Amino acid sequence: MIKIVLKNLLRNKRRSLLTLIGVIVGVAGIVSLVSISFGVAENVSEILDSFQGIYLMEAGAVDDQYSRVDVSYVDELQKLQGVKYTLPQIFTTTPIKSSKVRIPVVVLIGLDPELSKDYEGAVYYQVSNGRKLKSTDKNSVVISENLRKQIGQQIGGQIVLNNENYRIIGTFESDLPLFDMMVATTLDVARKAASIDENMVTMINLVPENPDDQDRLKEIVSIRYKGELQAMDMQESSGIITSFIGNLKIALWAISGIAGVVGGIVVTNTMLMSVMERMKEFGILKAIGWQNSHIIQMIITESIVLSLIGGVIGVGFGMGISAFATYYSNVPTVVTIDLIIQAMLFALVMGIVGGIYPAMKSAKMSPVEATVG
Amino acid sequence: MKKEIIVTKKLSKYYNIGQTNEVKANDEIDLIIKEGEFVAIIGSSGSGKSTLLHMLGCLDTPTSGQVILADEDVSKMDNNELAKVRLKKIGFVFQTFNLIPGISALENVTLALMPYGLSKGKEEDAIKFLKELGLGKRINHYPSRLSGGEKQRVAIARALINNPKIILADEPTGQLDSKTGKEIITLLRTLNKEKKITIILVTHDELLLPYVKRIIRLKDGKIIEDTKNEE
Repeated sequence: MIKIVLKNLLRNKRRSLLTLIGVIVGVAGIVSLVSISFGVAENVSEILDSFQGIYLMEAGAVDDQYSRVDVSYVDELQKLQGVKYTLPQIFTTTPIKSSKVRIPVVVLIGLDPELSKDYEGAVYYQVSNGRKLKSTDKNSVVISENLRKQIGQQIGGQIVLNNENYRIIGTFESDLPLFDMMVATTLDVARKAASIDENMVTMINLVPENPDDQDRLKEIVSIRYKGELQAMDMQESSGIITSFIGNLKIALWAISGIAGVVGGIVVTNTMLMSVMERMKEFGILKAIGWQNSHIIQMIITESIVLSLIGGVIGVGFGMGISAFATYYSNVPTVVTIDLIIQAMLFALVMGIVGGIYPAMKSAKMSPVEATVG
Repeated sequence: MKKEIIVTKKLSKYYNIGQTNEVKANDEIDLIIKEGEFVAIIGSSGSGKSTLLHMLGCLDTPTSGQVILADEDVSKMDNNELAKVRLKKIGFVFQTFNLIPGISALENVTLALMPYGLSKGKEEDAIKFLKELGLGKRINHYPSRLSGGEKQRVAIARALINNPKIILADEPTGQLDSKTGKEIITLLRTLNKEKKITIILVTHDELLLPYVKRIIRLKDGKIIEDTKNEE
């Protein structure tokens, strides 16, 4: 049967090619779009993992940029049972310049080198080249490796921040979009850049000894500093973000689904045309002893073979599109075996569904009509 | 005493039943054809000869009456059972050859067996039939590269592949020139004589009649003449 199926497909190359294109577009759409959603999800979850512990902001502040917290809280908080690190931080954005390039916006984080000297919870504390900031450092910065490449500077080189020169003393690695264009410096430098008063920071990061203590600490802080500080953890934000990513995935699956439906219609249409053209042949086959089920099986097999070939090519195209997106626009993508299996199953369903109607149509052909004239 | 291979009892096929334009294509035909006969069914256009052939060949079902093929009543069979009867007992030869384009002569011959599993032996039989019919060098040719006579010989090889007891031929020379037509009718007669296959052909070509053993003439769906030919 498979021999005759392949011969039939090769007999009308143009029609087979059209069917293939329909399947390829559908499957490539699924693979590329869903791989982007997987990539975004993985990326966001890595970002969330970078924020350990509890973040304390000014009560009522809608955003860390607008939050002002007195550093005097640091000593009090450090005394709470189960607290390992109390890290005052300033998060802001700023333009920077080097001798070669001007970059309009980078993330600037101000941190306390003394309090964070042993801490490596977030990427900007994990210096891979050069060294970490010290409290005695004046006009020094640690920057992300990606930013260093973009501004064309080496360790020991200079950047201009707030019209002042700063020396690059170290770099840290990060593939995550939030952290790959980042400057870490001391609190004083960040205060100047963000026009924040002395002794103030935008937030305090409280890292517990034991992660299981996090909820307890959060509750204690919320009660003790009610009206002064608000405590939040990334699990809270992650709920919102996970739900957003879930919606994004559904949306992308829906778009992929539309691509699939269009592909399915193309398969049905071309298979139907192919069947209508060959109605006489089906009558002849019946006349010489084929049963309806044999003809239905042949047409559905033709459709499945085309869909599976299209599926394989579509997966290849989809992976290509994903790779292209990652390479040229830094869009994160993840192609999993599950996704490939799902896309191939989708192609298979497209083939079966696209083949059923034309196959049923073929079964209606009477051998008498086919063989007369 | 030769065995009866085809028996029809009050076999009728009506179209547009109960309407003013009701057509009695075949009307209560009683017919007995014995093994090894070579029968021509003749008649003018619309006499019902093709309809009769289709019912004898299980391609069409009767409105009433019976068709018994080799002791098996096929009149009430469903489509799948009829397909099996066509596969096992009957070979068809059509006026327009009805070969499938895009596949070789050999594949056309073995096509009927493909869904049931084509054995090596049957493929060898197909090659043997094609060679016997003078198509040894055309085995792998597509129908588009064959002449009319060659196409009809491929169709005859296809009809022979399952060693049927009966070959039904509907105007088998209708699309051939007289010389090729004569070759085809001679070939059918040889098959009838040598392989003892019962052959029933429908034709309006009176020149073929000397080749057959029995002539049945139809008019208005009824048999009006049934004669034996002198050898």
